[in-house]
Amino acid sequence: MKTNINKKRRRRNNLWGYTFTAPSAILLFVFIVLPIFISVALSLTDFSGFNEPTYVGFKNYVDMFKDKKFLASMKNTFIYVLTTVPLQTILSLVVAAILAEKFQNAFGEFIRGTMFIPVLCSAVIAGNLFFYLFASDKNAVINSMLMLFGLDKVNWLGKSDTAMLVICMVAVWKNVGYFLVIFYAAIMDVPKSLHEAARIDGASPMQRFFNITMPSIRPVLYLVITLSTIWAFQVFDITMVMTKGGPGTATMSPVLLVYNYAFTDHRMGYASAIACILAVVIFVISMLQKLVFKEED
Amino acid sequence: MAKTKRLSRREGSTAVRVILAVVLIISAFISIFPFLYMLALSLMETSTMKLSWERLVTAKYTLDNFKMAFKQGAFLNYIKNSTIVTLYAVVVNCLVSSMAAYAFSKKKFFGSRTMYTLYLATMMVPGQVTLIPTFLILNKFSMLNTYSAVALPTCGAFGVLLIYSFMKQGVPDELLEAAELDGCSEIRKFTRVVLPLLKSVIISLAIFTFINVWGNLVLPLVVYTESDMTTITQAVANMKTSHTATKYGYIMACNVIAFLPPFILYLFLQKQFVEGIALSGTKT
Repeated sequence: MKTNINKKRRRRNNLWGYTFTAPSAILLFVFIVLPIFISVALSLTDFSGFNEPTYVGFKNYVDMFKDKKFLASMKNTFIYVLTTVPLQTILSLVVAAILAEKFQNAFGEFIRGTMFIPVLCSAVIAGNLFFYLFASDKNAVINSMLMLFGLDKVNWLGKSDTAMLVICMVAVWKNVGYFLVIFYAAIMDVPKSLHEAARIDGASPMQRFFNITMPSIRPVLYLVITLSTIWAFQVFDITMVMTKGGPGTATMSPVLLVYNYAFTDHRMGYASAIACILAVVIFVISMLQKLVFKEED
Repeated sequence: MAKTKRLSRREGSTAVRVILAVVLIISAFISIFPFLYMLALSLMETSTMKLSWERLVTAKYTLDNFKMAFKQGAFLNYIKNSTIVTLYAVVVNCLVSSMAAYAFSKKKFFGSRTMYTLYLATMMVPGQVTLIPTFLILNKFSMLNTYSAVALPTCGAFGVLLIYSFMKQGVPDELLEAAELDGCSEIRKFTRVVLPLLKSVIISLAIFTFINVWGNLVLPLVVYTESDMTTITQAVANMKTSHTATKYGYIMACNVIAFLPPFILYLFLQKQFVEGIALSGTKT
């Protein structure tokens, strides 16, 4: 009798469990799980978006490695990752550490609040603003500052190396505030007693930072590095707004390339293949990062 | 001797403090300078992208740029589209995510573990992989150019994981059991007991979703093929290359308008927002 009631209860519990999960699960299935399978399937076809997809095997994957635009976009991404990830991680970590160490007051709160504002604006607005700040015009803010110091004006977005530099700067400018909040919360979570004990032992702020704070916030550090790496692979808005990938392919990002191939050139099969490879690359890199972090523990 | 040494160390630490404060002020200034530039230009009369002290003092200030934006029917339509699609996404995402998080956390139904792991796994899937199929699926259901086309794909696993991480401490099991003993139905239990307790984390998710959808470019670009669905973010992204390209004041005014809703939201809900980010950073 009792087991019968229990069984009934469990069944009821299951039923409500499914009911409550269903709306979310359906959306997740339709817009994420199903698309993954479709993407993989499409990547093996020749598909313009209008015709019936025809199976071509791994042709798209082979073509990719002869595609100058794709290779350029991957090279750009690596430059972008190597520039933005260390910069925004270190900057936000240092600022968070300084705020937590010296300015746990209204001033510190003001600084955090102000540095967070770039997070609020869309990448489109950020791109727009920096587009004008770094315009080639002699009236543009950055160039007029350069000329004030007697330097020549620079065609920032018109030259390959400086264009990439500006785009990296926009990303760092926009992301630092976000990671600052994460780091600050993590640092504040470190038990005060640890710091007190170290202070009594005569440890300098630097020593305490490297020996107490850093080991305690490792999981967060991992999260920030992984997150900013993944974001780096997904750059779209900033390049779309500022350079459209140019000059040439100097700032072409893989997602912009996927978009262009799929929706401008109508090569959806090929674009899907690029998207899949990107997913694999991102996955491998996150796993490597996880390994590195685990190893050091 | 000992005294002077201690004193000088304190002085040294004050000096360090001042230097650090100056560095922080400079970085904060860099963070907001582009916005100050945007605001200044949007309020000025002449059409140049120059900004100097001299100009700040001598320029004629006016609201004409904003008036020009609001005079256009198209612009009002962009704002309407952005508002509808954003609020739609916020409501659906918050509701659907809190329901699922509740089930994962408190129901422990058959298969819930596996499903939760699957949710976690989808967080690894980069957006570009789902972009083309999302377009094809929406096309198949004749849902391109609908608000759902942008709102629904936004409801991923993030919200569920965020609320789930809050649920353990935020919603005590005892309260649920008490409600059950009082004869609360499941739905009542969810709406009357669970949802009120989740208020702060739901507000966090709402702000995340708002900023994401409001500023989203790639999805509207793909799923809105008709211009009357255009969002303000799309519109602002295109302005530099259109016929208004040299009306800097006007372009900046439009950017200000596009920036204001997330900014105002932040001013009012700063605490929840920051807590939400901290939660997503430390717990998930």
